[in-house]
Amino acid sequence: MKYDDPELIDRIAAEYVLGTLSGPARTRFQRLVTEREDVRQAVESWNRRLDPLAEHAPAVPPPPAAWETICARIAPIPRDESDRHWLQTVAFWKRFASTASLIAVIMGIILVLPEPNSPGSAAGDYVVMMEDQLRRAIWIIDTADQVTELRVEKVAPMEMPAGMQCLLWLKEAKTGDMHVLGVLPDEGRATIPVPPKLRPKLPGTLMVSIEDAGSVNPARPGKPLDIHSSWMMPISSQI
Amino acid sequence: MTTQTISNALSREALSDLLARCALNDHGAFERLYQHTSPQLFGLVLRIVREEQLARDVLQDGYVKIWNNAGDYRPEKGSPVTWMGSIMRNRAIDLLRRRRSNPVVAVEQDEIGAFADERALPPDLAVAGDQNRSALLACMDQLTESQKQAIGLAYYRGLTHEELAQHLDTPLGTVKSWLRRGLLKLRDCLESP
Repeated sequence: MKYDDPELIDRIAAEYVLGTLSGPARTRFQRLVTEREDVRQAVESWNRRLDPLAEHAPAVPPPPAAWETICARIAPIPRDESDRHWLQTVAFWKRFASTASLIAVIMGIILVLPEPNSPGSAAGDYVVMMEDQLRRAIWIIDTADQVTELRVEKVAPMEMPAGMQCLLWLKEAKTGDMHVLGVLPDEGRATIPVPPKLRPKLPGTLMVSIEDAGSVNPARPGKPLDIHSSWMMPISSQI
Repeated sequence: MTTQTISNALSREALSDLLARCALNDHGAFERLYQHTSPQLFGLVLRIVREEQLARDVLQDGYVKIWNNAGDYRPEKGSPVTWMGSIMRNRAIDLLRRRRSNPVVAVEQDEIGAFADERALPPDLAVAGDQNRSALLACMDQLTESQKQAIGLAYYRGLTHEELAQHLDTPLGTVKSWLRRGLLKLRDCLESP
């Protein structure tokens, strides 16, 4: 079947969300959702229309063992090469581009850091843009050779709640543990070193949290304030 | 089986915050999120798959996916519960399709149309009066009983066209027509100014 007709796509998306699409057609359409922006949007529209029905189902407490099983499955969370491939797919970036509108002030980032000493990881290879809801770049970060430090430049003003600041974190690839790297500059440039003890933990991801201004070395990220606004946004070096 | 209505005890904003914390690898936030949402999501899944062990499998898979994809949630797409519900429903339907063991059991008439009955909602949810849900319920009221019944069975039971036709003892083409026209009417109604 050719999926060129928007009306046809909308109809199949409705059936997919409703659940009546089955067999190979469902599998085929699921693949299209990840590959095509128009298909993904059609599915999202139908999700938005029908999802309120989900809130109607009567609540039933699950058996306690379910939580134990879930805990066992999520810790630690492996972050391997497959994540990098996912982050770098065209479909992902199309999706990213269309969902960049957020209700809050800023977005966070995730940067997949290169392996230390990996071939081709020259300075400037890995650039991160942090954007606001209008997709204006706020910070630009690039990595120094060997990822011993990160060079950060604030390139546009950003509305920040009073008494708050943004912290940069490294999330370990293998364990998912979080390590604070430093404060993102409110203006101008800054260099944030990657401590030697953290370098062996690469590759990993960079994330941003919003914290109280006095909090420069919290044990873990997570100021719930404006957390909508600090959604993690993966940024690939290949965009 | 005891039912509870604690899933909406936390506000939409609070649940969004918990999801955001999950994206930051906060296991404590994930546990709170689970405590406050799992009864409702388990109820939803159970309603679809009709089998406790299978529902538990779906729930576990779904929460692992929620943990791994918490950063994908966008408030403008809907409430956290509907976003998580969508993950659960997709997983439930995928498993049902794979197992091909979803018996088309008798469905109580009350259940089929219950989603359109405001009185059947948990009190806190009914009071909350989510705008999207209210709009959907109003539009559902504009459908014929057959359209409403077919959509309800498909949504809450995960039935395919063929299973719907069998269950409703109605020709396949007629069932497809009910669904197609019903969904179109819903879309037009929801998008009308």
